Order: sequence, then structure tokens, then C-alpha cells
Amino acid sequence: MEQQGLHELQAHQRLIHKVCWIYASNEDDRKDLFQEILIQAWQSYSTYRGDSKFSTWLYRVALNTAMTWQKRSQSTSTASLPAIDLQDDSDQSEQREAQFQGMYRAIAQLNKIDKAIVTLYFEEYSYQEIGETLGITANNVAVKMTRIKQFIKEYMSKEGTWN
Amino acid sequence: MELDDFKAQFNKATLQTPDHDIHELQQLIRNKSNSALHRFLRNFLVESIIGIITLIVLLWKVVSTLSAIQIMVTLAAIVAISAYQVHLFLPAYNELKALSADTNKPTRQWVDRVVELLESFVLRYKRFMLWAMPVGFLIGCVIGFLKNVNLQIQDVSDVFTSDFLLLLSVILGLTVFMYLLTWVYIKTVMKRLYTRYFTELKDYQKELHAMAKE
Repeated sequence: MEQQGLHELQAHQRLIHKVCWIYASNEDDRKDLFQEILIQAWQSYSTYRGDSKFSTWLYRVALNTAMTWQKRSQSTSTASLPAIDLQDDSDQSEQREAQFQGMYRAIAQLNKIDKAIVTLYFEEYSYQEIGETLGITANNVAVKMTRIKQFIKEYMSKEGTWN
Repeated sequence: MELDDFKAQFNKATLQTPDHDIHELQQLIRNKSNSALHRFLRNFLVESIIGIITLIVLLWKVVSTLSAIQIMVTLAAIVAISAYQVHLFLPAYNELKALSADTNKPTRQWVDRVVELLESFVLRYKRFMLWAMPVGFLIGCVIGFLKNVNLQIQDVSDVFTSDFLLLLSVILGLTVFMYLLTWVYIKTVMKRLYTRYFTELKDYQKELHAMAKE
């Protein structure tokens, strides 16, 4: 049982990394949160009944942990993702990279619940599924998503990275 | 750039974080959790253990100076208070422990139950401390006082002697002092050990409720 749980967690650790990238804006916080989610998932593995996909269950654990986790540093203004190869010509590539980093900084400014919605949205969850995971209605999720998109647009416009 | 464009780039970027092997994961699991609920429960456990050890040390120190009947009365009082403590806190502690590993409840229901339990837990703890600490200190002081002052009470009229009135004044003074001391303890130690984690979860609950009302 213990080994099985550990192997499942190892196979799905990318999911935990994604949650960490959304909730923590620096390396130390990401490591701290990764460990926190791992411990929580490990301790809760016995409650996984197999009636949903393991990834769905792990998302729930990861988000619940991330939302109640208190980061050590409060800084979000310096949040940045690793640079990625956008396979574009250099001018456009630079602009896209700036937009990409700007959007990441905007997401870092969201509150914990909005971050959970964005994380599940990135995983192609429907509003209904997001609502079920967080204990709110699909309508609440739809309203929140509209506001989140609006907030990101405004934040990036202020920063000058929205285009 | 829209949120949907960002998604693909984000997934690509996060791939740059290296994966952990089984041994690294095992190592991370062995470390302590720092979540609000875990820290709350851990602090309570540590405080209980410290309390038990302190009690044993104090008993060890005074037991040789007490008579058989005094030892029996002291032990009976300790057992009664401990049983009451177990009755007050153990069910809530166990339920909170079970909740910390419960992943089947939707977030809002989970937080609601955790906050409800913590709220009653903190309230009970405060009430318990406000009488148990002054009473405990007081019993200790009275025993110490009686051992050092030789009271001669053979008749009802003897209770009005200056020694007895002095004892009464000391007891009253100590009661007020211990009660105030307990308030200071509750304000400072409780905030550090419990209340701040409870507040953290309560704020989170408020956010979830505000969202559900929208």
C-alpha cells in the first residue's frame, strides 16, 4: 500500500509541480509547498477510494493544501517562470516572452481561491467540475473566471505587457 | 496573449522543474508538515506532553514531603482533572486528525467543519485554562503555606485568629493574581500556539463563503 502510493505520487508529481508554480513565486516557497502537498497526499492516500481518477483526487489534495498553506515570503512582484523557447523570430519572441511573464505575474497576484480556479481551468476542468471540487456552483465559477480574465487584462495593461 | 495561450506555455515552462525519484520523495515525506491544521494539532500535543512531564517532576519533588492521605487526595485530583481534559479535548482532537487526512469532502464543507471544530476547541481550551490553572496553582500554594505555617484550629473561634485571616487573605490574593496570570497566558501563549492558525483558516473560510454568495 505504502509503496503503491509512493509510486502513484511519483508518476503524478508533475501535477503537484504545476500547483506549486501557481501558488509559490520563488524557489524556496515552491520546494516548501511541494513537500507540504506530498506529505498531505501521502497521509491521505488511504482515503483514496478509486471512484475518481487518481489525478482528480490528487488535484483536490494539492489545492486544499495550497489554499491553506502559508508561504514564508510574501513577495509576488518578482514572480517569473523559466524562459522557454517560443520558436519565433527574435522580436516577436521577446514580446511573447514579456507577455508570458506578465501573465504569470498577474496570476501570482490572484487570491488563493482564484488561483485554484485557474489551475483547474488549465487542466481543462469544466466549470461544473471546478465547482464540485471547491464546493461552489458552476455559476460562481463562471462569474469568477470572467473577473479573473478581466483582472489579468487590467494588470497586464498597467504593466504594459498586454497586447 | 489570452489565458488559453498562456496555458500551453505554462505547461512547457513547468516541465523544466526536475522530477524527484522515489528516494527523494521518501526523504521529503519524513519531514514535518507546516500546514495550519497540522501545526495546531502538533502544538497541542507538544503542550500536553510538556504539561504531563512538568506534573510528574513536581510530584516527584513534593511526594516525599506529603502524608499518605495528601498523596491520595492529590492523585485523585490529578486523575479527575486529566479525565475531564481527555473528555473535553480527545474527541475533537481525533476528529481534527481524521479531517486533516480527509480528501473526499469538497473544500468549503471541509473548511466549515475544521473551523467549527477549532472554534469550539479554542473556546473550551480557554475556559478550561481559566479555571484549571488558577485552581492548580492555588492548591499548590495552599499546601506550601500550610506546611510552613502552624495553624492551631481546634475550636470555631480559632478561625478568627490572625493566622487564619492571614491565610484567607493570601488565598484571595493568590486567586486574583493567578486568574490575571492565566489571562496573560491565554493572550500570549494561545495566540502563538493556536489562535493565529485558527484565524488563518477562518479568513480562508470567509473568502470561500463570500465567493459562494456572489
